[in-house]
Amino acid sequence: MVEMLVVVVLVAIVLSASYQIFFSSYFFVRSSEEKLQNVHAVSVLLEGLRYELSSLPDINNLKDDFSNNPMNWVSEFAYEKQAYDEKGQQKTPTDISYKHDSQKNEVVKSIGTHGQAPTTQTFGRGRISSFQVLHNYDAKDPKYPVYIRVMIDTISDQKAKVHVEATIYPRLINRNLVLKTAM
Amino acid sequence: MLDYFYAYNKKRKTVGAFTMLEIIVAVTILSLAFVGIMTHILTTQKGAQATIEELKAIASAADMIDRIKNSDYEKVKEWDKANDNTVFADLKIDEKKEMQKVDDYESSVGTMQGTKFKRTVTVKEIEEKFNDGSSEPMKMKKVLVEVAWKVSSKDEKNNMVSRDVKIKLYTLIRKLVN
Repeated sequence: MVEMLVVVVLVAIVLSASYQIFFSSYFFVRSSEEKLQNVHAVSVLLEGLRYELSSLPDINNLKDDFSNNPMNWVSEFAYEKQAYDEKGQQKTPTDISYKHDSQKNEVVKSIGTHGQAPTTQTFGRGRISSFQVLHNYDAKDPKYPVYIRVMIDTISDQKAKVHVEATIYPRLINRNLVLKTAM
Repeated sequence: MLDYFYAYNKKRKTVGAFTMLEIIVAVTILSLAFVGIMTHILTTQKGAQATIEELKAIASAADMIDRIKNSDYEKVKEWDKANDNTVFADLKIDEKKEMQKVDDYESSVGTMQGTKFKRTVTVKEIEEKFNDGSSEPMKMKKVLVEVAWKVSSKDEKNNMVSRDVKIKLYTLIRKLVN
């Protein structure tokens, strides 16, 4: 009888422990996977933005609804990208826009040349819950350095939320020392 | 085989059961297996956490490198491991609007404990010669931005120990010449 009781108690302990271990390990594995996916989504988007915006040649290239609203967080912005060929001739400008799709939790980048249907590229793989951008350029009172702040949040499945804030400085604008509009 | 098993059980006058010793051995083996599995899972979890910390550290170091590249050459002083307070004051960075201070800023990720980052900047003025040394030496500043934080883990004696982790980003800046 005693043997029986000891066995029952031991089995109960082992069952309870394994139940807890299996559930917590499931949570841990899911959480780790979510975290890595979130980090990947944020880092790809952030590095792309840093590369593009730090080489923004002119604040006027930003579309009016963004450039006319300094210090306001927005979830979409657009600019006109100027490119030059090897002989220094200006190529056809490209319209680039970034927009957060709150339904799909993605950031949609749209690239279009005048008169042609734009092509789109998506970032975030359904993990970007919030994407916000702000700049400090005020045409009436321009101050240096000009900067663009980016704030990215991911979905918080399995408590794996990632929040990253970054400041990007358009190198060419700041190096020219005088903004085109102020010249 | 089965006939032999049933015959053996009839002789023992007991029907198929485990002995206490068998159960204890089985439980011990199972526990050891679980410990191994759990250790691997926790290592993966820590790896994911470390990746997030590294992403944030790289972002804050890149922010400072960008800021220094966009500052006047004279304003970038020869700092020796200057913290955010010194650099923000010298470069007149607005911490509320422009860039977030990371000194002792606690980053919380899910249920994991917060991480305290520390950013330092070291600048040294150097002279470089170009065109195989035939040109006049040009003054440049070598900039090093370090972001450090602590990672806690258990040592072989199962004591919690914290170790320093650091990422380093370098850049060179020079005076604008027309």
